[in-house]
Amino acid sequence: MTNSRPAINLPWWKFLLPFSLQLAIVLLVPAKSAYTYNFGRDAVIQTVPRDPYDLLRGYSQTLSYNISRTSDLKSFPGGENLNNGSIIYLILEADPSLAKTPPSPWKSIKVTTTIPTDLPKNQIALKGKVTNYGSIVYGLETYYVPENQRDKINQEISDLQNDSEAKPGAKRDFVVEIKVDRWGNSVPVSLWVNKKNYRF
Amino acid sequence: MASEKFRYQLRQEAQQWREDGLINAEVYEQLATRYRLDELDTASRDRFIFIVLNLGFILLGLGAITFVAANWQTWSRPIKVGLLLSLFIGTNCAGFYLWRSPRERQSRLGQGLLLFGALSLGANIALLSQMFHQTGEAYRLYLIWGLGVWAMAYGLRLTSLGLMAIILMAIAYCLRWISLLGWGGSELGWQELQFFQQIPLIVATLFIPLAYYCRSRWLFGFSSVLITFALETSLFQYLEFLDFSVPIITSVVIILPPAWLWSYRDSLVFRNANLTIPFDPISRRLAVFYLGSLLYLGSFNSWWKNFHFDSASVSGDFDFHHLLLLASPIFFTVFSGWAWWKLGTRRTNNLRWRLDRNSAYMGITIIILGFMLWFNLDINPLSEVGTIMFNLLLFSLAIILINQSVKEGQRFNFWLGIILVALQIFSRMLEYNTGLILKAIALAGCGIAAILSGLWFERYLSTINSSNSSDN
Repeated sequence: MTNSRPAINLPWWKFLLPFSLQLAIVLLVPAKSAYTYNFGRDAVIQTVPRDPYDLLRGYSQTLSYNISRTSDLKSFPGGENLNNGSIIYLILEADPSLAKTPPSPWKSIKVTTTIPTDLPKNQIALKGKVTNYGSIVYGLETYYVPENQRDKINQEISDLQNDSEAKPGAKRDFVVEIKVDRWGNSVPVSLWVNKKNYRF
Repeated sequence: MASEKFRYQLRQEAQQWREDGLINAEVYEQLATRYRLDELDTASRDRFIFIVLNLGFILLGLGAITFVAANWQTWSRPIKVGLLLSLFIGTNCAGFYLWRSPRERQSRLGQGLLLFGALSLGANIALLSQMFHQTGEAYRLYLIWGLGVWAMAYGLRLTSLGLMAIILMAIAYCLRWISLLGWGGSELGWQELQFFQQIPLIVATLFIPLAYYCRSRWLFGFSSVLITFALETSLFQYLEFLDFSVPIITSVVIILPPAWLWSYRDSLVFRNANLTIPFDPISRRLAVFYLGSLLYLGSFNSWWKNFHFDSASVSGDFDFHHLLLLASPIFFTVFSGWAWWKLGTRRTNNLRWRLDRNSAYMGITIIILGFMLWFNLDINPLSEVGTIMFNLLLFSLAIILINQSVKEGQRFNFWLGIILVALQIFSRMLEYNTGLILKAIALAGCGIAAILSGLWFERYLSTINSSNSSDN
């Protein structure tokens, strides 16, 4: 026997309204990043890794950059503007040497508090926020990696680090390619470990 | 329609009556039609199918989320996005369509699909955030996911989605706490701090009306627990932010949960809710539970030794600029004051304002507690006096609970009272270094007393029940 009862007489909008809100959420979460990813300019920065896990998004590399410590940026022009909680723009300049693999990281030039409008072609402005812990967050600190390649990548990174410890002064080829849009927002695009490029 | 339990009993009895010749087959048929006795078996089977179906859909949804977390590279990004988005749209639309169907089974299948759709919303959010390697903390994702599911629960008046939404909010809130406590380098901006300080108010305005709208006691209970938890944690957040301590605010916030939970009545805000079973007994139970836990904590001497601020950091006056951070506690304090006043106002207005005995006990205990906490923090550490007072209050709470339960035949209060007394004696035995023989005697005594009183109470309950049914 099949039970039957009066049909639920609910107007469609009672479903469509929350449903479109949910759809809007799905699309809004990545909107800014998607813009930066598609319309931003390329840049390269040097990095150091860690390795956490997030139930929703899986394994990731937590990346810290040589431009992430306020103490390292204090000496640049405008370095006195690095106050806790403030928004800063770091101006980076491309390495003039020819394109090579892996690409060489861009060099920090100066720190500003407003976004410069007249930057030359070989420079970009990267937006960051100064935290209370003496670091700067750019929104580039997480790179999600597939579960099945995680161990391999971790191994390569730690080999690379051991190498550079054994030979101090040797240049570490561990860099991140990023995209930066005209407002200074950025997304990480790919990871260079030595001569290997990882793009997920 | 009468409750299912009653219908089961009636069917059993009616069959017996028919066999005994008390009623004839015709009367039995009339009873069976009136109480739909034939549908009882299908109803319970349907319910079982419903639970299995929902469980299956929840597992499927978790599968989709784990698939995203695996970050599998064999399928390219556009394929994954296309697949998950169409899954999200498809399940929601199909779920809504089926759910409206007049056929019970289709409707239940639809409800399961809607649940799956809500989970796939989370999978989509996670995937798109992962694709662009967004750095933000995971709790933000849980928060907006919870809000999305809440909207759907409201639109469709579905308890299952409402429960999922409140669980997501709770996960978001707890994750944020974990990320704050750990050194995850997470940095709370001023705006985010302000937002999270308002969580008790946000949950109260979003979920309490939803609970009444869906007529869900579970939703009401979960929301009340989350509000209480958020109220207490927001206090610590506030003190951390100020960098100095305000004893009066601390003590008020600590006694706030039992104050509002006890005085809360359905009729205060939701006068036209039309409930078959009222919700306020739940909040009262929570109030008693919170009070019992607080008194139990304070019955340890070590708690009082640690519960004070550095005198250097105590400040009587505070910066009014940060009053916005206290919006939730202020709201709940004002609400409690109003609710207590209403509690004592009797229907016939010429009678004087007076509380019933339970509420009077509750009110006095809350005031004593608040005063003691404030005195301890602001004037002088209470130490031994505090310990003794809390032990006395705890014991009296347990006795009142047991006494009350015997009068009203309430099982919950009886066992809560017994557990409180047993825990208290047990803890004092372990806390103070008494001889093992004494410990053994006390433990055995407690055990025997609990068993005997429990047996007596259950017997007493059944005699009450049988005398009630013979009266009827």
